[in-house]
Amino acid sequence: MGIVFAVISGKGGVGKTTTSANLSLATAMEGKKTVVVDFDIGQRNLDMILGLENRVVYDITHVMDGEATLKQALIKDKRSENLYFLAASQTKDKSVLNDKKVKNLIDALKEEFDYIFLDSPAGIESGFEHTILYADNVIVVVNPEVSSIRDSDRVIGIVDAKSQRAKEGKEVEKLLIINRIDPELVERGEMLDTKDILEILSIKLIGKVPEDKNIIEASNTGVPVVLSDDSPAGAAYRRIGKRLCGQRIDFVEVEKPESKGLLKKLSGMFK
Amino acid sequence: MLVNQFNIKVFEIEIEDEKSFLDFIEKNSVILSSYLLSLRGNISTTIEKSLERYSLAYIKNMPIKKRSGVAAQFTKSSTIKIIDTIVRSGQEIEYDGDILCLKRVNSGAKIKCNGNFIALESVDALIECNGEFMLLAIGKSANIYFNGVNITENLDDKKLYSVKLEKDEILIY
Repeated sequence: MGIVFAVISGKGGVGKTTTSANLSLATAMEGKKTVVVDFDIGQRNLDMILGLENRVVYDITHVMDGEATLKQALIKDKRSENLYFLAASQTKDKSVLNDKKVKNLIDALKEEFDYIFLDSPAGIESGFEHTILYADNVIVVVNPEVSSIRDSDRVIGIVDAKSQRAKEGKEVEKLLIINRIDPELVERGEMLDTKDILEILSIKLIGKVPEDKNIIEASNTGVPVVLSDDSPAGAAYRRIGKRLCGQRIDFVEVEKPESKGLLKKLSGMFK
Repeated sequence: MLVNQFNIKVFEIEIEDEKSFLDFIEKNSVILSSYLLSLRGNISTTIEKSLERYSLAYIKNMPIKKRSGVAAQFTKSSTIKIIDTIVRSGQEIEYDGDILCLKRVNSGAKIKCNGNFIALESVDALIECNGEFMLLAIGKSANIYFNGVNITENLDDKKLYSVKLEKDEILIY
């Protein structure tokens, strides 16, 4: 039986889709049979970030309505033999989802796959609620700033109240990723530090991802940074992927990248 | 000399006829209980009695006349609600008795109690406490009402405060 991870954030633009794409690739690279599903019905993006937009024929609503089989709709990623992708519909909206359809789909995916990532839409409406409904774990993506923290606090509260596991009296594991940490802003004290964020949300930290200019190009070209060797964010996602697969990987202080420290020292020498 | 500064929010009500005023009070007594009422017009004994029954503080024709029994009635409330999980953004808790929060109360949450309020961890939310005392430490985005008075500005970040109501005065330690 597979494990379902819902990737959520509350606020938009914090990097849910990028995180979903990179983490699913990372766990696939670790040998887990992984599927990543775009639940943002009506505004699909994940296909582009994965570079698979021209291979989408059938999407999630076709599968739910029985117009296509799961096998027909799953797109195999050529970069990893373990990664599959299920696209969201671009033409319909989230009202096509209902509890039963979502349950059937997720049960079918659990039969086939080890790890199932669900990329949630932003906000707290029905699309989001369906994403978390049958999740075993949620991955909460935040940026180190107050509005993102408050919104994610809100969605964690909803997960605790409305997910199926919570209704059965079981705990949904909540894992935190602090995304887009800008070392310069941290140095100037303009970003919330990890300690404060953990104190407010009090959920388990699973990784910190630094701000990385490579992400924009990676999204444009459809080659996630996790595949690149010289991207700090990519390295961070690989570490998180390993942690999700049960490996013990030490946390890296992404707030102070070494290269910058070295440059500073050098420039300091010539002053 | 003891000086207290109060920021009081007031409902100003013009009484036109007794019945419609009494209806209004009956419907809104819960909301009104955290405000001071400034009444104009003819205040009959029936109205006075009704205001007393709902324990609403009011003034008429300007001189401040606050009921002396406000504190006494809350002494009776002994039921306590213990909240042992984090109160997260968007959650709203309303309770007639005392509330004890064992974990954080985060920004965007709302807690209202007619009894006393105690929080063991930092409070960053909107709190409306109508009891005799509060014990709490606040964060940056807290907003604290004690018996209808906003006392947030009198509290510093991260210090533990005891707030008491004694003889119609709010004492903050």
